Amino acid sequence: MGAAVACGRSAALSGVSRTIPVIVMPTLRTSDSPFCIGPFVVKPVLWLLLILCVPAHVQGCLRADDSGVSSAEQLTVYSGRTEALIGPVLERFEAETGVRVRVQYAQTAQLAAALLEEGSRSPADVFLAQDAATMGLLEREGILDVLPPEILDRVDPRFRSPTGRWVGVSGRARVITYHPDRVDASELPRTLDDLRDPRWHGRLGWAPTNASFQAAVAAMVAQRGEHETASWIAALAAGSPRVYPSNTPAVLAVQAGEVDAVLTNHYYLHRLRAEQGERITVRNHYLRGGEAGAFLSTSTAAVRAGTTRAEPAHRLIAHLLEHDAQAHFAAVNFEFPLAVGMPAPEGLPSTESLDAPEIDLGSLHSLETTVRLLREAGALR
Amino acid sequence: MTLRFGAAFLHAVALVVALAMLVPLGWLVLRAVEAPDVALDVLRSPDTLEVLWNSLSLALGVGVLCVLLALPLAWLTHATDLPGRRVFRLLFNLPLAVPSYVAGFVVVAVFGPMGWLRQWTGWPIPEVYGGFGTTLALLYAFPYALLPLQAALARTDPRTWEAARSLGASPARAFVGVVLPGLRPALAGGFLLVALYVLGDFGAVSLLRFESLSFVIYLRYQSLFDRAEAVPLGLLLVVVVLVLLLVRRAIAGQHRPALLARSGVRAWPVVPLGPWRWPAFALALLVVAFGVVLPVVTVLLWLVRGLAQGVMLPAVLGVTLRTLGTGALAALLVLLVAVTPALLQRHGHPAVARLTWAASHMGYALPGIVVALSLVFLGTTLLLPLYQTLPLLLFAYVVRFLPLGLGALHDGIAAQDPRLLEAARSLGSSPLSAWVRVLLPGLRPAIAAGLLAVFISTIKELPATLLLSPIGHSALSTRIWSLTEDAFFTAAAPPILLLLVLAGLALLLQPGTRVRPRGHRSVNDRS
Repeated sequence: MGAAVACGRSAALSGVSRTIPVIVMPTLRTSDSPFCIGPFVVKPVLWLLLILCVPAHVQGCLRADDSGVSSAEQLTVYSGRTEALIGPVLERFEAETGVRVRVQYAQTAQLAAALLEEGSRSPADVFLAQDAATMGLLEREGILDVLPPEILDRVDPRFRSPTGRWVGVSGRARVITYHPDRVDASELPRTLDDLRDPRWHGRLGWAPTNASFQAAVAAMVAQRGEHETASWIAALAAGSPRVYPSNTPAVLAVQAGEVDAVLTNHYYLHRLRAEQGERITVRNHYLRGGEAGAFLSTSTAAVRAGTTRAEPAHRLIAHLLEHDAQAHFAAVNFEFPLAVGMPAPEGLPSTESLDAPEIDLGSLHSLETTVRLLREAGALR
Repeated sequence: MTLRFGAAFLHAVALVVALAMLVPLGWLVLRAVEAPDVALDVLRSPDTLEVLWNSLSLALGVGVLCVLLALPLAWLTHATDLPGRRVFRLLFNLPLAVPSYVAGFVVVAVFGPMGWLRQWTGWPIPEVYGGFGTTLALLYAFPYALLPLQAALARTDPRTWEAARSLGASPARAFVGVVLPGLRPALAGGFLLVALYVLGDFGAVSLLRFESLSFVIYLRYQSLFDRAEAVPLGLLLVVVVLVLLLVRRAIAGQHRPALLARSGVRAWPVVPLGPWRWPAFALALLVVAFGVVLPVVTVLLWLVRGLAQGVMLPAVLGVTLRTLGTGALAALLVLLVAVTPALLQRHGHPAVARLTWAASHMGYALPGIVVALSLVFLGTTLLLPLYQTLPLLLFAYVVRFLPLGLGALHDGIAAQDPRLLEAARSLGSSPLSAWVRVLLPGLRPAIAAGLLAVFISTIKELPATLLLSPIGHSALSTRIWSLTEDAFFTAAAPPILLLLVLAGLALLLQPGTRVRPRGHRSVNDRS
C-alpha cells in the first residue's frame, strides 16, 4: 500500500518527468560505503559482530558480579588514585592474600561526593584519596572508622589523622618548576614570599583549582593566619599569573615557554621525563624551610565506618605501607614514601630533608578559608 | 477503540519516560530545598549573571558555527563530485570520538602562545585561553550537527532538485529554494544538540579556561565545601535549556514535507561542483586535518616518544570489548526509548508532547557529574539492588543521551508526509502495519544517525561511567581519563586510538545516499 501511495504521488509529478528523461537503472543498487568491495561487503559483517557483542557483554557483566567468592574474602575499594598508580599494588595484595579486590576508580572529589550521597548504604570498604582534606571532610561527616595503632604507627604523626581515622601513604612535594634558560639560579625564591617581588610579574603560572595548590595555601593560613595569606594571594594575583587547569598543562607550558615558572607538584616533571626523555629540560626547585612552600601533599587511605570487612580492609592499608608498595609509588610516580624508614625515590631529596610544615593536614577550617580567600581575590570562581 | 487504547498507551509510556528523564532535575530541586539560603544567594550574585551569559553565548555561538560548518560539508558529501567524497563522509564524523582532553591539547599546541601557527606564520593570534580556544576545541562537536543533516539529505528525494534544475534554476538557487527548506528540522535539531552539548561540556571549558555554568558547577563539586552552590547553577542551566528548545522551534519552523513516499527510492544524480571542486576539496582536507589528523598525530607522537623511552603498554582487549558492548547496548536502548516520545510529537496531545520533549533534553545538557550523582542518590535509595550494575549504568546513558536518538527519529518522522499514513489507514491498514510498512523504511538514515551519535557519545562518556559502572569495570574512556590525569601519555595513546577506530567502524554502518553512477547522468545534468 505504501507503493500504491508512492505511485500516486509520482504521477502528480509526471509532467515533470516527461520533460526530463531521467535514466535510472532500477536493478543497479550502488552502495555508498567506501568499504564495499565487490561481492564482499563489510557492513553486514560489522552489524553481525555488533549484535553478537551485546549478549556476550551482558553475560560477562552478570558473571563478574557473581564469581562465587564469599563476601568475607572480597573488598570494595573506592580509589581517587588512578589505576596506573595503584592498580599493580592492589593486584599484588590479591595474589598474596587471596582477598578479591574490586576497585572503583574516579576523581577523589567525585568519590567523596558519591560516599556522602550513598551514606550508610555505600558498598565501599576502603577509600583511597589523593589528599588529606577530603578525609578531613569525611571524618567530620562521621563516615570513617578509627584505624588500629599498628597501622598508624608506621607513619610520622605529621602525615596522619590526629584522631587516627586516616593515614598518609605517599607524598608529593610542592615545588616551583622553572625553565633554566629563563630563570637564573640566583633569582630562585627561598620562600613563597619572595614571589611577591615585581620581578616575577607576568612570568608565573599557577593552578588555583588544583587541590594540592589549595592545600599548600591552607598551610600558610594555618601557620600565619588569614590576613597575611590574603595579602600574599593579592600580591601574586597582582602579577597576573597565567592560570592553568591542572599541573600537567602547567608544567608543559613552562617547557613550551609560555611562562617562566609555575607553582606545582614535584612529580609531573619526572613523569614527563619518563615519557619524553631529555626533551623535558625544566627543573624543580624545592623551597624547604618548614613553611607552606615546603608543603607535602599527602595521598591517604581510610576505612569506611560500618564496613563488615574491617579485617581485610586493615590488611589492605597495612599492605600499602609495606616496603614493596611504597617502593612502587617511588618508582612509578616518583612519590615520597611516607612509611617510616623508607628511602626517597632515586635522585630526589630524602623525605626528612624536605622539611614539611607541621600542621593538621585534615583541618578543614584553613582550607575553607583558603577557598574563600582565593574566590575573594578573583583567582577562583 | 483500539486506536484510543493505543493513544492512551502511547501517552502513558511517554509520561513514564519523561518522569525517568526528570530524575536529575528532581534531585537538584531536592537539594535546593535543603539549602534554600545558599540557592538564593547564588542566584542573586552578579557573578552568576556573568557566568550565565558566558554559557548562553558560548552555546549559541558554537551551535551556529557548527551548523554553518556542517551544512556545506553535508552537501559536499551527499552527491557531489568532490574527490574522495565517500571517505570524507566517514572522516568528517570522526572528530566526535576525539576526547576533549586531546582536542584541548591540539588547540593549545596549534593556536597557543607558543603554538605552531604563531611560530611558523608570526600571525597575531588571539589569546587561546578563554572564549577563542574554547570555541575551537568545542568545534570538535560539529558532527552532532552533521549526522542529522546527512540523514536528512539521504532521505531527500532528488526529483524536486531535478525539477528545479530543469526549470532553469542555478544549483545554488535550487539548493536554497528546494533542498534547504527540507533540511530545516535537521538543521535546527543539529543546532540544538551542539548547543546542549556545549552547555554540559567540562573538558574543553576547563582546559581552556572559559568560565561557563558547567565549569563553575564542576568546580563546586571539586571543592569540599561549596557543593550546595552547584545546585542553583544546575537549575539555572535547566532554564537555559528551555530557552534553547524555543530557539530550535524557531529555526525548525512549521515545515511541511514537500513530497516523498518511501524516500531513497530514487538515486541522486552526481551534482558537479564545477570551479568549486578543488576549493571544496581544500576545505574538506582542512577539516580532516584539524579534526582527525592533528589529534591522531598528537597521540601517535605520545606513543612513539614513550616507546622510545621504554614505556610498557597495558593490555586493552578486555576493556575494548566491554566498551563496545556497552556502547552498542546503550545505542539500541536509547533508540528504543526514543520511539514513544518521537511518535508523540506527531500523534500526541500537544501539551504532553511538549512536556516529554523538554524533559528528555535535561540530562543531556546538565553536566555529567550532576546526572551521575543524581543516579547515585536514586541507586542507593530506591533502586539499591541495581546500584553499580549494568542496568543502572545503561539507564544513566539513556538519561544523558536520549536527545541524540530522539532528535534523529523526530527529524525522520517530521520529514514524512502525514498524508501517507492517512492513505495507508484509509486503505485498511492497521496503525501498526501502516507505520512499519509505510514510514519505517524511510526512517533508516535517521535511525542510523541516532545510533551512531549515541554509540560514539557513550564510549566517550566519563562521569557516569566512572561512578556507576559495575565495580571493577573500567571502560576505554575511564582508562584514558585515568592515564592522562597523571601524565601517562604513552599508555593513554592506544585506548584513544582504539576509541577512534571503534567510532570509525561504527560510522561504516551509516547508510549513504544512493547516487547514480557516472555515465548514467540525466540529460539536464550535462553542464
